[in-house]
Order: sequence, then C-alpha cells, then structure tokens
Amino acid sequence: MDSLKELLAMKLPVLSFWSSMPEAASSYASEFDSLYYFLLWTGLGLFLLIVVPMCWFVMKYHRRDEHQKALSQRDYNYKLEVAWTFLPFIYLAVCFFWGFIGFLDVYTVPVNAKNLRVIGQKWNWTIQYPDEEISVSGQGVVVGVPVDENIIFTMSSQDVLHSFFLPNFRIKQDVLPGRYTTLWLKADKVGEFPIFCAEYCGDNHSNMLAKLKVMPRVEYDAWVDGIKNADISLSPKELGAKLYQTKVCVTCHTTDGTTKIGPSFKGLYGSIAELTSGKKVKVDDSFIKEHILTPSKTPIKGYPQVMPPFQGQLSEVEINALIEFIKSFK
Amino acid sequence: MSSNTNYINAKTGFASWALTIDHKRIGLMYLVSIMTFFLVAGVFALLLRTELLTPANTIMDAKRYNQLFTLHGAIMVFLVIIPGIPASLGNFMLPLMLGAKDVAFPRINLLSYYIYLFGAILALSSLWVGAIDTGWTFYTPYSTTTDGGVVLMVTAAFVLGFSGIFTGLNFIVTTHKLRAPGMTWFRMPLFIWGIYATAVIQIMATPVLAITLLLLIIERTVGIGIFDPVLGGDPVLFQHFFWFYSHPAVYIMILPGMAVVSEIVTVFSQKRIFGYKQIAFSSIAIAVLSFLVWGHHMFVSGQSELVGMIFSVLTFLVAIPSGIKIFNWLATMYKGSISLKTPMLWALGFIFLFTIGGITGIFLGTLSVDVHLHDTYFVVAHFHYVMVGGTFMAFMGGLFYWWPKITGKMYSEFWGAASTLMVVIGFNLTFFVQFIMGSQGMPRRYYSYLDQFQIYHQISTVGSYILGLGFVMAIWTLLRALKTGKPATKNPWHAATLEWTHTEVMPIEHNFHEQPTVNEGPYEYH
Ligand code: HEC
Ligand SMILES: [Cu+2]
Ligand SMILES: [Cu+2]
Repeated sequence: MDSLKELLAMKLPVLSFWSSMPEAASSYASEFDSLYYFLLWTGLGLFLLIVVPMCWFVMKYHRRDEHQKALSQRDYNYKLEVAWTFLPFIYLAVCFFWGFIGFLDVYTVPVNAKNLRVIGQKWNWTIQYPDEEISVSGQGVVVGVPVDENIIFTMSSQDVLHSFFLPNFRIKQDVLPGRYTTLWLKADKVGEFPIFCAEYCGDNHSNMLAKLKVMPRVEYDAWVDGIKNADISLSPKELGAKLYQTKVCVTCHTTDGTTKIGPSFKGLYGSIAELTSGKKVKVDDSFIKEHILTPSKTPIKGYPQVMPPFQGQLSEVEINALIEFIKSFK
Repeated sequence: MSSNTNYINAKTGFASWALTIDHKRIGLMYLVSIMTFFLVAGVFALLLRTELLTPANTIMDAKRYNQLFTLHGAIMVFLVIIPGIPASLGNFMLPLMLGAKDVAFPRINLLSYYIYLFGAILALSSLWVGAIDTGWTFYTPYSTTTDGGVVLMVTAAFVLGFSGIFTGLNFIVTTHKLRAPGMTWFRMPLFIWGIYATAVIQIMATPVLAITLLLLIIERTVGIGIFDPVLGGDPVLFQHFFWFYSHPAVYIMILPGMAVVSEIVTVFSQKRIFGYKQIAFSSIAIAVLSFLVWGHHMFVSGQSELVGMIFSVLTFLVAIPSGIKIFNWLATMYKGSISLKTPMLWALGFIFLFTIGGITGIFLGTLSVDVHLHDTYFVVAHFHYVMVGGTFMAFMGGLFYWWPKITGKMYSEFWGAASTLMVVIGFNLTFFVQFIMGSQGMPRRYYSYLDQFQIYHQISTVGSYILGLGFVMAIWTLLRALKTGKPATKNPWHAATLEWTHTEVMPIEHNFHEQPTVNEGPYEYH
C-alpha cells in the first residue's frame, strides 16, 4: 500500500492531495494532521452534497423542448430552511473547538525549555544561542537543535515584518519590529527541515530561508563545538570572508569593483569617502568599524541609506576580521 | 411607439457620452473601463505565472516580479472586482429592475465615474514614479520605507473609495425612493437586495480605509509615527485598520456575484426562487457579520489568543448565510425546467467553484489550521476561488444574461458555452494545485521556490494560459455579437423582472414608455 502511495505521488503529484501534508516532525504536527484530514474529508463530503444534486437536477430536469414548464412552483419549505440554517452550526462548532484547542497548544509556551533568540532582517535569519554562546546567521543558515527537547524561539525583527514558518511542525509566527513574539516546538524526528519567511518583506523574500537541523543530543553538542572551533581556527581574512557571506554583506557589496546597493570593497580601504554632509573622511580602521556598527552616523553620499546597523551582532574579533577582509581587496 | 429609438441611438457624439447622466450609458462606460483593466491585470498575472515556470530568473528579476504581483492585485481589487458588478451591471439594471427612470442622483452617478477614472489614472501614474512593490495590502512598515510611488497608489485607492461611496449612496436612495408603484420590498428582484446590501457595506466600511490610507500617507510624507516602530508607531495597528475595511470588501466583491446568480438560477429554471426571504436576509446578515471578522487575517500576527478565538467564531458564522444561498439555489433547480444556456453555465460554474472556495474558507477559519496555511499558496488558491471562481464567473454570467438587453443582439451560444468550459477547466488547473502546494508549505509572494514545488507551479502556469484564453474567448464572443449577432427579442429568456417585461429590445433613454406598476413577485413564470 505504501509503495503504491509513493508511486502515485511520484507519477501524478495531483493525486497526492489526499496525503499532501509534508512530513510531520513533532507530535503536535501529527495531531494537526488529524484535524486537517478531518476537514479535508468532511469538506469533500460537503462538496459532494452540493455538486451531486446540482448535476443530478441538471440532468433530470433538463428543458427538453422550448415550452416545457417547471414541474412545481413550490418556493418554500420550513423544515429544509431550518435544516440548512442550523445543521451547519454543529459542524462548524466541531471545527472551531478542535482548531481552538490546537491553537492553544501552539501558543502556550512550556516552562522547561531551551531558549533561542531569532532576529529577522532583510533577508536572512540570525539565531542566537544564549546558553551555548554562539550565533548563526545568513541565507540558508543551518539552525541546530536537539531532538525531544522543548525549544522556545523569542523573535524580533530589525526592519520590516517577517514570519517564521516551519511547515514540518505546522507552526508559524509573525516577527515584528519593536515587539517580541514567541514560538515553540519539540521535534520528535531527526532530520533537516526548511524554515521559510512567510510574510512578504521585499526583493529577496523568497531567499530568506534557513534549515532546522534536528539532532540527537550528543551530535548537537558536537555541532555546537564545531561552530565555536571553526571561528578560532580561521585566519582573520578567512573569518572575514565567512562573515561577508553569513552576515550578508554580499547582498549589497561586491569585491570586484562593481557597485551593487552599496560601494564595492575593492580599493575601499584607504580611499576618501564623502559623507552626505559634504565632509570628506579617510576610510581607515576606525571609520570602517564605526560604519559597520552604526552606518547612520556616517552616511555616504550617493547611496541609499539601507545598510543595517551591526551593533551588538559582531564581536571585536569579527570586526577586525571584516576589516582585514576589506583591506585585502586593494 | 417606435421600437427603433433606444438609449444608444437617441443621441450621438462624444459629448453625449462624456456628459451623459443616463445610468445605462454610465454603466456601459464603467463596463468598458473595468474590462480594460481586467485585461491589463490579467496579462500581468500571465507574466507572473510564466516567471514561475522555473525557480530561477525565467523572464524577469525579483524586483520586477514583486512590482507585478502588487499591480496585479491592486488593479484587480480596486479597479476591477470591487467596482465590477455594481458599477457596471448594477448601474445599468438597478433602475430598470425597480421600474425607475434613472438613479436618484444621476449627476452624482456621472461624478463617481469620473472619480473612478481619476483614481485609475493616479494608480497607473504610480508606475511612472516607480512601480510599487508592497503587495496590494500595503503592510507597514514595509510600505512606509520602500521606495516607489506608494503615496500615489495609496492616494488612488483613497480616491477610488469615494467613487464607491457615491455609487453606494445612489443605489441606497434609489432603492428606497424610486421603486415602481406596487413594488414592495419583498417584490424586489434579489439582485437588488444583493446590490443594496453591498452598498450598505460600501458606505460604512470605505471611510475606514480612507482614514487608514490617509494616516499612511501622512506617515510617509510628514514622518509622524503611526505605524512605523522606528518612529514609535505600531505596525500591527495598520493591519487592524486595513482588514477592518478589506474583509467587508471581500463581501463587497462577492455579494453582487451572488445577486447575479440568484437571478440566473431562477430564470433558467423557470421556477420561482426558493427561499426568497432567506436569500434576501442572508445578504443582510453577511453585510452585518462582515464587519466583525477582520481579525481572521491576523491569527499569527501576535494578537492575543482570546481575540483569535472570537474572530474564529465570528468567521464561522459568516459561512452560514453563504451556505443558505447555495442550498436555496439548488432547491430552486429542483423540479424546474432547466435550460443550459450560457448564463446558466456560468452560474453553475459559480456554484461549483464558489463551493470549493467556501469549504477551503472553513480550513482557514479553523485557528490551528490557519496557523499552518496562513500566507501560503493555499490562501492564494482560496481567494481566487472566491473572487474569480465566484465573483468573476457571476460577472461573466450576468454579462451574457443581460447582453441581449444591453446591446439588442444575441451572441453565439456555442462559443459562449465553449468559453465557459475553458474557463472552468483552466481555472481548476491553475488554482487547485495551489491548494496542494500551500498545504505543503509553499509561501505566497515567492519569486523563487524549492525544487519540490516546480511541478505544481508548471501545472498551474499551463492552467493559467487556458484560463486566459477562456476569458478572451468569452469577451470575444460578446463583442462579435455586436457585429454578427442575431437581433434579440424583448425577453429571450422568459424572465419576469421589469427590465425584461416592460422595456423595448433595448431600453429607451428614459427606460419605460410609461411608469410600470407591479402586482406580483419578481419570479412569477406563467
Ligand atoms: C542592505 C545592504 C547592505 C548590507 C547588508 C551591508 N551594507 Fe555596507 N553599505 C551599504 C550601503 C548602501 C552603503 C553606503 C551608504 C551608507 O551606508 O552610508 C554601505 C557602506 C558601507 C561601508 C562604507 C563604505 C565607504 O564608502 O566608506 C562599509 C565599510 C560597509 N558598508 C561595510 C559593510 C559590511 C562589512 C557589511 C556586512 C557585515 C555590510 N556593509 C552590509 C549597504 C549594505
Ligand atoms: Cu520575507
Ligand atoms: Cu477576511
């Protein structure tokens, strides 16, 4: 039976509607699916309840000659009207309560849990791990979490609205600027699951992806160590190159002299920059550091003021690494 | 009584149109404008679907894609579907069906057309300043920070709102004051009830949109913090305001569609409408409830669970009056004498597609299920089933139904039927797969996507071409009838409402030779 399902799903994706939910990776997701399939099957029933009589009447009472009159002019039936006004209440009440219970599950945060912080910004996610003292970020970033443990995401946005969406867990929550929202999950399957941004946020909205990597605890600890060590063993320039990717400087700055949204890094170090105030300054270590942390203090003439501030997101080591990286493009 | 003068040939020349206060001519001018915008926004849709054939750059980059889906949505919503049936068919038919010479305020009627035109020009001129990329929902703070002609587009929506308010006001007063002698409220055709309920929503909800958009404009131009958190505003507040209008707007869009279907179903079954009062009052119930459900667009926006719960309950309540209408239409067909002429085919298409739209609405009203489906293609499919499968199918049905009265010509039944079939097939192909994609987690407004979704996108795109062709065929069939169609008779469908029974083949300038009087209900087929 399962192989038949797979076959059908592969050959004719449309037929896979009846098993169309993505793999469920938490016990909540499995519960969710029961409700979803309940709606699907009862919905199909309701659909047939309307469309079958419709087709049947069309065939049976089809006008065969021009002058054929209706068989009846009856236009009211008390019992029928009452039935189709009040019976739907029962069905809808069931849907409502079932859905409400699930909704409470999604938004009632457990007490014992591991806390992660999520920051959304155009167009990538940053996840901070306060306990492990690491953070990961960038487009397509891998977010490691241990299996069978409660995880709470405390989320905020640096710019516009985003939405943190994990289809395999059937959960989603908008990420807002100026306010914290939370979401939690407890994965019961190991594996990699996509994370989408579900609230439209501009040009690269559809690339604002990440991957949740659910691992057994031991593997997870090793993953954390790996991230810690990776940065120490890199040379400053290598670390800079990595940050250039993960902190998405790459979306606005090139290294080959062409201008994207911001100025290219090629030949930047040591050049003279003109601020919007008309003031000219030399691009040296202090200037670069200040501009990365708080770009709005030194706005450069001729460019849109869209560079996000990295204050609080980069360590001293990382800033030095970025400066070395920029310096390397003469 | 000569039957060769009518509202078209009574006067000629550009000014006789541009300055007309004849509700029929104004209705026609609306119709032409609305159809033009429909074709433009439809072409945008086809471009979008073509881009989605591959996850990479097929024919445009991400920025262009975002601008196009914004334009597609904004034009379809504000210039096509909201004014759609009421401004064109409603304007033309409402006085005729009531037995009136014109609407209550003919000059305001003309004014609202020009306001509409002005709004449309504003909307399109935003292209020139820089096409906007906010989505038709203009969510803050994105819309207050992105560049492009946001202010122009928002002003356009603001202006268009007034056009709707004036038309709504006109219809309400006309219905109250200008009914033919003997036409009691319960002898009015159901089309009137639907248009009336729509008008009520329109004049009550639109001011809220106007205020919201005004606040947005103020924030963008003066920099006062209302919605943008950087300025100390609250971005979610905008969503509340916006949906307080835009959910009722969904019913501004669908009620007239239901109203048309009510007419077609009874006429083409030659049977009195079943549950007249139930259908009439369900329109009013929808109008009232529609104001209380806006929060169902925001279940995952961070609003409290209690609020979510209340909105979920109210949303389910709206489903009931819609269901009542469908069941009553079915009961009307029962033991009728059903003719499958083109208008009826559109109406049956409506019932078929709208039912799917309604049932998937129950999915979305169910709180926990909405958390998963919100902002995915499931939602996109759902509202297209309601707006296109519902409203637009009904609009086409209404056009085919009243075309002989409007133009005095019969169209080709064959091509009419063929185009309906094309539309229904193309439509399902386009949008049904989107339910599947959405349930699997494909978010909406995505320029690119994971490979696993490609096959669905491709099916959907092929479907959209068929759908596009179907609509072009339908419009072509209507236009061709002007030239080659057989002359119509006064009442080709044997309807019993005044616009058919008491007018010439094409109505004269003042509609009736003498004031009709009414002494029975609108659906007495003898
Ligand atoms: C969203 C686009 C964007 C991102 C992401 C971005 N920048 Fe920028 N950056 C700009 C723009 C635009 C300017 C010029 C305007 C300004 O900010 O004053 C700029 C200016 C700069 C400057 C000053 C250039 C000069 O002419 O002196 C430096 C240095 C810089 N960015 C470094 C970075 C680094 C390092 C990163 C990643 C950690 C980064 N930027 C990420 C857009 C961006
Ligand atoms: Cu996004
Ligand atoms: Cu709504």
